[in-house]
Amino acid sequence: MVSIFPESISERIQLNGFLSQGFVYSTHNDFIPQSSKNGSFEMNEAALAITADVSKKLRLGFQLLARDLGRIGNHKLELDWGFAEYRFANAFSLRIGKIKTPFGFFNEFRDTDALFPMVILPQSIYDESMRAVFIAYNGSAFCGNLNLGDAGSLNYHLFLGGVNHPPDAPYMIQIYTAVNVGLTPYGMSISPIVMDTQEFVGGRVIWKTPLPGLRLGGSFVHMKTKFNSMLSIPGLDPMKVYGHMKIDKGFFLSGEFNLGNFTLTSEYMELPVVLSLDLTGQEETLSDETMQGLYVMGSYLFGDKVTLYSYYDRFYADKGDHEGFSSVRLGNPAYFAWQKDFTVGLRIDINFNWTLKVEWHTVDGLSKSYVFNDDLFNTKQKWNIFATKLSYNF
Amino acid sequence: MEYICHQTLIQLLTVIHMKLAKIIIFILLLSLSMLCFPGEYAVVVNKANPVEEISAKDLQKIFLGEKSTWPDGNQIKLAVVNSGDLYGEFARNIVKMTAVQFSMYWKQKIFTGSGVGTDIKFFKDGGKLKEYVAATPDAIGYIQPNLLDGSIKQVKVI
Repeated sequence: MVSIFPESISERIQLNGFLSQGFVYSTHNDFIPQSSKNGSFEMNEAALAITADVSKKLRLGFQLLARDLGRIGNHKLELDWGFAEYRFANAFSLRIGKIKTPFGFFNEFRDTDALFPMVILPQSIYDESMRAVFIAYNGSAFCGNLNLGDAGSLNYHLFLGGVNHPPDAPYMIQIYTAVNVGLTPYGMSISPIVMDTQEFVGGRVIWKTPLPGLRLGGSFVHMKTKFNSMLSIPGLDPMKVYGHMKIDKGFFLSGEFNLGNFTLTSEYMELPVVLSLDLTGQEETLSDETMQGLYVMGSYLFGDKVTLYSYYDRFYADKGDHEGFSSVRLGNPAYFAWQKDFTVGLRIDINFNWTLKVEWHTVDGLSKSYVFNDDLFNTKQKWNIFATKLSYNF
Repeated sequence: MEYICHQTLIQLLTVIHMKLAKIIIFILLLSLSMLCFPGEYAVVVNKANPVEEISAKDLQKIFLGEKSTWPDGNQIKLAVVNSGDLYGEFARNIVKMTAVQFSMYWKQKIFTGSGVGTDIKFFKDGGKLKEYVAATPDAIGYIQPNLLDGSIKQVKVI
């Protein structure tokens, strides 16, 4: 434990941090810009977390994070999370502030490399292009751990809040592009959009079952976001238009079984996303698709330092269109509608503080990564990613 | 000639089978040693702590942060040795995780803020941990049995 504070204060304050640097090389397509040329080092994170006891029941904490992933982040220092927690009992706490969004097993710590086996998380569930929507919310939460006796225990986290939408978030560009594609036949276009979340509620429960090593989880989300932009119509002055992005009844199912050194993990997601635009006082639906994701991962720990892992990850942009007909109708290749990724990797825990990972992806489709490719006409359906990362934490 | 080839093939297969059998037996024995045999560690608390014994189940909950207060209502302060055989044995036998999983479990809590409300300190060796437990009334940790002395109190795990 590192402390920069005087002893009397340091007893009440904890300081932790992490630093990681990755390298990505891909064939044919970019995973991040330029990764298919000479590879890219633009994959790194650094963070500092400080938590403090104010009283037996009240704690405060925050974490500052700077990260870079291609065009995203660019080392801009941001408040990753920061909240006050009042613990009424083990089973019930209230949190207020900026809080990590609890989806699936990995979402809350997706930027902390040492906390999961792989370099690149399964993109079907932990999509880099949607990260800003799901990384953290500003609001309040009820959470705790319920002891169910012989039936195990239940960890829960229910929340209500809002989300910041950074202008460089890939989904902002995706929405802007999708709306413009819908308007092009009418000779109209919109300017880059500004988003404001009106409703964001959700939660997660994780049941630690009585069967040793088995835990099951479920997460749900509802979001209503309003966006505005300037609409250009030939021959008329630009006018302000409004639209909505709604995620209704989205859910994630998670399961993990651990037996000795072997761990099997799987997660499934359905995320119905509706995009609409208000042009004439009435909402016009531009797209109504349900994203569908699934991955299965097995890992085995050799000794106490080396973990061999492999996962199969499958994503469809629309649950009702696995063949990519709508992508073809828009003039894009069918493989923009899916992304299937088979990955093999090795994680070495050098010691408690240092971790090294290396992995190889065999990918079919480009649904999750096309926003990172500037020249969409020169992409390929089958491609590969090599990724490695070294991280340090204290 | 055909008979000699056949015999050679049988001998080769026999050798392969013997080697495979040895590997499988080795893996089984390794797994059993990891799963069944208790480790060499002593669970210790501050001398002022009235607790004399703790069930293995409660100890697991304490070191996973699921049980965070002593019977008198004071917050439990966790002390964890995070290197060497001691760490791995304690993780396997009490927390029912590998050392890597146990590390990740607590780092997840620290770096997401979900560990806010839990007091945990990590030490590289049992000696430093013993000094901390001796000086901290609500602390609990584990050390190698040969480090036990009058400065701390051993708790019986039942």
